[in-house]
Amino acid sequence: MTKNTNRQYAKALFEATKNLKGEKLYKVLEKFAGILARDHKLKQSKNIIREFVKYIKIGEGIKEIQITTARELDIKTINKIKDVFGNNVEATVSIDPSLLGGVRIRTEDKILDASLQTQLLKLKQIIA
Amino acid sequence: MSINTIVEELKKNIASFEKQVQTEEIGTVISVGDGIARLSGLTKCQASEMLEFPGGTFGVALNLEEETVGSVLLGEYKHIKEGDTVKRTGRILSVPVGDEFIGRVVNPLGETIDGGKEIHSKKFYPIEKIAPGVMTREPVTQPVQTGIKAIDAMIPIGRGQRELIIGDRQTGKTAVAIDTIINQKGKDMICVYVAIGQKESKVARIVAKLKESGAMDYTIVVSAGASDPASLLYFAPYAGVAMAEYFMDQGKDVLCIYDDLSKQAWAYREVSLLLRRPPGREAFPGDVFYLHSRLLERACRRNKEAGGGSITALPIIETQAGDVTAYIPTNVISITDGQVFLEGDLFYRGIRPALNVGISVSRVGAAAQIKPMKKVAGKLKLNMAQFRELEAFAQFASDLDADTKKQIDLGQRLMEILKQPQYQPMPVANQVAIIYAVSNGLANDVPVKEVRAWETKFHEFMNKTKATLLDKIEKGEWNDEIEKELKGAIEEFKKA
Repeated sequence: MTKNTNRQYAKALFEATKNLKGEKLYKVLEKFAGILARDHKLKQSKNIIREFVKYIKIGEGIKEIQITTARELDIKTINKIKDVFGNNVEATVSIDPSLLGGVRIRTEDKILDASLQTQLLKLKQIIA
Repeated sequence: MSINTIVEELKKNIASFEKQVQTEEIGTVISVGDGIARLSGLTKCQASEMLEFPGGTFGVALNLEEETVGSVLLGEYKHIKEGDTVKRTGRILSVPVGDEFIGRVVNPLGETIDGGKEIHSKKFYPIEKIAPGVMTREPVTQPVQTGIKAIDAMIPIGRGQRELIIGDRQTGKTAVAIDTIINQKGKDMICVYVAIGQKESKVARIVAKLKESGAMDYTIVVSAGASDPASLLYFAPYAGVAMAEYFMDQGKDVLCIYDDLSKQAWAYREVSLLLRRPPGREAFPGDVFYLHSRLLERACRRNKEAGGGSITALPIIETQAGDVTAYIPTNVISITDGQVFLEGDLFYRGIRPALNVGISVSRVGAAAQIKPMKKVAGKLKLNMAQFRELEAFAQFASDLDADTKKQIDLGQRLMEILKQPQYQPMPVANQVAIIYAVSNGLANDVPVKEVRAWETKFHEFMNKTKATLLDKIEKGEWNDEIEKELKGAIEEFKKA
């Protein structure tokens, strides 16, 4: 039998804690920690929490994107970018001067690269 | 080209350059180690697709699972860590091919490793390809002359055949293969030598030998050394045959040597176990038969309508203590069209090449021999078979009747002429002449110990004075007249 993956733990936790509150929630969490300890998975708890958050977001239809730009963007532009990806988007914005210009957006399993850096690299390849 | 035109050209290129958003499908590394990486994401990844890891390392997707992708890494992986981004390339693993590879030493990815100029080939062939089907093939009829008397006479190999060379370590398996390459000079054949898990020093020695004898002019060496990752060892024979297929597609005949497939099977076992595929017999994965059958099926003789050309495969298998019943040897024996069996005992008795004539076979047989060879080899085979039966009695020579003694005598002389030093392949016409002479008893008056010296002088004499006769034999002519002429020449030599 293959071992359970982090994602499976996260799923199980989600299903078990759905609609629970207060004392009951606390008990379930305690049990869950016990199971992790039994399966020697305590080291993985960080990753399991990450998967858990991801799972909830998928369940609620929230899309996560990472926007990287060369300079700081104003809220208006960020909102414009967000709108492209739907109306339930959570964006993290970071700044990387080496892009030179333009924007690079990373979604769950894709990179949309419209940065000046990549364009120049491509141009270099064509000329060379 | 003047500066102006260059500037114009550049301007044109820049003007035609369009800004475009580049989209790439990516995944993330979950775990990495032992040359294996597990990835998440990459939902649309294809089987055996190349993946680009950070730092220019490439990998190949081998396991496509529900939520993860298992991939092998084709190179340095120390810098790759958990959470790194992996890009899809959309390309199935393929190697560059072309005429410029002839005479070069390359790794299984087609990168040169002989210190020479880099090769920028525009043509790529996928390393995994389905073998040609029934309708595109035709029977094997033309010979591959190995230049080794024992093989060319008794175990003939044809163009498009798959003949296994099997034996323990240090029995001269590679020597047979290298001699065969050297003997292809001027025979319109391109050779691909795939070295799998060999010491770099051995590969260097082989390349030097091939250069010395002028054989690198028509040879490609594909080498995955002992220090290369297991994934490269696993892919090496497929890369070699892909390069061979390029030449076959131009209607040429290619000889492919895989030295050796047992090491490739070990490498595949390593990769499979690390990818957690279930182990079977001798811990090999379940598809280890398919591993070799799909490779060797790509050897073929194609008919004219399909473009002609052929790939002859000479796989090499190393046995442990003569055990041919191990898993890999039995598999490859059943796949190939015959085997050349080399034995340590014979080797140490001074019979080199250490060929066990009794259990070596070629299932293509005399169809791949020229007519004169067919005629003389028939008698040779019969004599050798009778000699093997009587060999045990050879020690009681004094108590034997005249007939038996004569047979043993002849057999011993035949054994002597089948011995042959390394790197000295012999033209087929000379082979025919000497085998004819000895098996017809024309050398019976030469003492057994002096047969080899006699043979050397005989070839010198023939090459000097009977070149036209040898030419005729080489072309495949054989009739009573030529036979008489040959007999006359032998008598003439004996008198001289």
